[in-house]
Amino acid sequence: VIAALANRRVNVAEYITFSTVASLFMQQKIAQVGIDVFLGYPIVIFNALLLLTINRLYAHARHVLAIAGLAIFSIVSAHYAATPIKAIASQVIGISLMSVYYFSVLTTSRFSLSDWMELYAKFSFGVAVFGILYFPFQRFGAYGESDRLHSIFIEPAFYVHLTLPAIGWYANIWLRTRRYGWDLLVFGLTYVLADSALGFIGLGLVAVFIATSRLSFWKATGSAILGVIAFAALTLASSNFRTRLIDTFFAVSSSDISKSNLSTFAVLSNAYVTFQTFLDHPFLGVGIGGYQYQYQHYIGDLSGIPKDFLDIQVNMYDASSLFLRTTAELGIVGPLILVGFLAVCAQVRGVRYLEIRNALLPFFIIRMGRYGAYFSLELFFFVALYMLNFMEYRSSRRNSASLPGIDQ
Amino acid sequence: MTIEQAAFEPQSPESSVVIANYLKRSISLSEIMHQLWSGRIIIAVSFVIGIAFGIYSAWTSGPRFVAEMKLLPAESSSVEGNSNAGGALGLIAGLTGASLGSVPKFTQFLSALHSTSVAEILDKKYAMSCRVFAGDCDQQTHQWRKRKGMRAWFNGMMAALSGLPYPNGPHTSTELAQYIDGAVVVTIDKANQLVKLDYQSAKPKFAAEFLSRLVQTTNDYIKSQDRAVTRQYVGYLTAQTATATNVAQRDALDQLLLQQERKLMLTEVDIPYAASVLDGPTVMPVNTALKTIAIYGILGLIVGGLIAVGKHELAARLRKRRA
Repeated sequence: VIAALANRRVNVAEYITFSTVASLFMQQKIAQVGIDVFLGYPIVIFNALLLLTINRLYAHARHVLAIAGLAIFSIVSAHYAATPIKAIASQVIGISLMSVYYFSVLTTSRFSLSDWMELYAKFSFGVAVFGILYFPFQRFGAYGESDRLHSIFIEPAFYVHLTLPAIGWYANIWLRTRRYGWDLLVFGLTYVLADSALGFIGLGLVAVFIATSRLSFWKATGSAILGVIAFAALTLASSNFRTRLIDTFFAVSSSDISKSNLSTFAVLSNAYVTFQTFLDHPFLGVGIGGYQYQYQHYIGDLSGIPKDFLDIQVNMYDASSLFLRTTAELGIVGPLILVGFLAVCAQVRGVRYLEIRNALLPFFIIRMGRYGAYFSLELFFFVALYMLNFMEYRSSRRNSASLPGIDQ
Repeated sequence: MTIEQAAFEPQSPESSVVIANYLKRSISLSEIMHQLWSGRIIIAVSFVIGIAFGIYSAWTSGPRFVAEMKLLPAESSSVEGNSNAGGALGLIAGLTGASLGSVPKFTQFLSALHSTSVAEILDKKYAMSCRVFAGDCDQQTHQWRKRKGMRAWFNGMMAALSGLPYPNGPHTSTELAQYIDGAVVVTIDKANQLVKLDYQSAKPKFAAEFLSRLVQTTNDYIKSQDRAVTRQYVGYLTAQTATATNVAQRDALDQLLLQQERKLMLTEVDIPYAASVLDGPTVMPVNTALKTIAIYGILGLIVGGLIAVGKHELAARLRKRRA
């Protein structure tokens, strides 16, 4: 067997392609050493070394400048906020590795962006089917919740993050070609079984982006009315969604989060810590990686919180949201960069580009709204796709401008 | 095992253009690794120099010790804090239409740790400025020496340029307060109100004594402040009671006087007033040698790497220009 393996011809490009897409789903935490260590990290590190040896690991000059700028900005912020340099270093190293790797893979592969989306969506579908098959047996395993579908992940929210772009992609393709109808139904069933408020909001966003880029004003208005009805029906049907909605409303209106559920507590307590941190450091923030120290400093100010909630330090490392985390760590610049990136790269026209944008934008809003990790495995893969999609659109527009008579 | 590298080229025309532009402006990390490998001798030499400098730095900086004390709000402080809010002072303030915000004694204590007033007392009682800034002061006579060297010269020149007073005279109590603010690290655990004080010094006995004296002096300072204020209240209320003719008013003043006299008594008992020591001072050695050597070693590697890449780039540009 060893001899056979040794003599086998290995296509590196194929290995890199498939293992890269597989790595996106390996978000199972195996350790916590200042940063969350996921199962997919060893694959990324091995693949990065492999690309390095075959001269396929590249970093764009602006990419390097952006990371260097982030590091210098954070060191200056840390000087005023007493954030340890090791916290900044671990985040910068993680961001550098993940971003360079995924950009290199996407730019050196023969796959087009649509090919990547197709392959990723197929993997997602596999994860969804596994989720349905595994669902009746979840209660026998000690991994994750027993009554809500979470497939191979620890919680339904991760399942939603990792599969939402696939749903967006299939929905867009189905509208154009009527392909993937059954696949969409399977995904729909998994979202119902996952009973995740994030998932339902994500599906709503997918529908909104499709509607805004395809429907006329009156059709869009009709869709909005249907959306409101769907929202009301969902509130009545899903107790999980209803609990989060009501808890959040009462917690915000009464400024008291002591009686809210864990998910609402996570968002609102981290919003409080972010707000206090922002008041102290509005322009420079506390430096990348410094949020956890602010959390420890401010969380004790909240009174009447159940001890269990405080003990598990909900989202202490990631602020429960990338929008909140960047506001605390980079000051006003952080959310401006995030929103600017999403808004600028969303400016595309043409079916091919809109399909990718409409698949990814709902994911970014959900992912950045409820998860604050900078280098979880999927983030830079989708960032690279989103950015390259915009760059290709700009390139096609320049080409069409140089060829009069061709309308894009 | 044979590795095939085929099928890496992009397909669609837009992709080709975008990717080609992208890669044209990209830096090949493999190329950089190659350059670093070519300059491995430079990097190794630079690394060894860094390590050697780290060893020298660790050797010359001498041993370091950290003294640690754990504090809690004193019992009397919480009692006083409560009585202040709804007690006599609050009542007087209420009678005059004003509101009196009471600051807990422990908070006052933490703020006073690095105050000039506490520094002045430390200086008077224990000659602390002279001991802290030992390099500038004769420890036998407590006379300040004239400061010499580059730093003193530079500071003097900068002060003269800005029209500021001469900065190289004897150290003042304000400088001691600033030193305490920077050198004594206060860590507050919000969950249980425990406060940890850390102070590093080359002399272990002095580190422990310094922290003890600081806590004791700050406690005494808060106590003396309270005593002075309460005495004034007692004096005022005694005078008012003597002149009051209305029975109800007299009873009310008697109550207030009783409360203030209780407070005054507390300030005269020799117990921890604002902060009580839970633990310490404990002194532990701080070994920074490995950290120092590692930092200088890494700096050496980075500098060596930059020189290696820079040398390669420079040579490439020169070759290009010649060609």
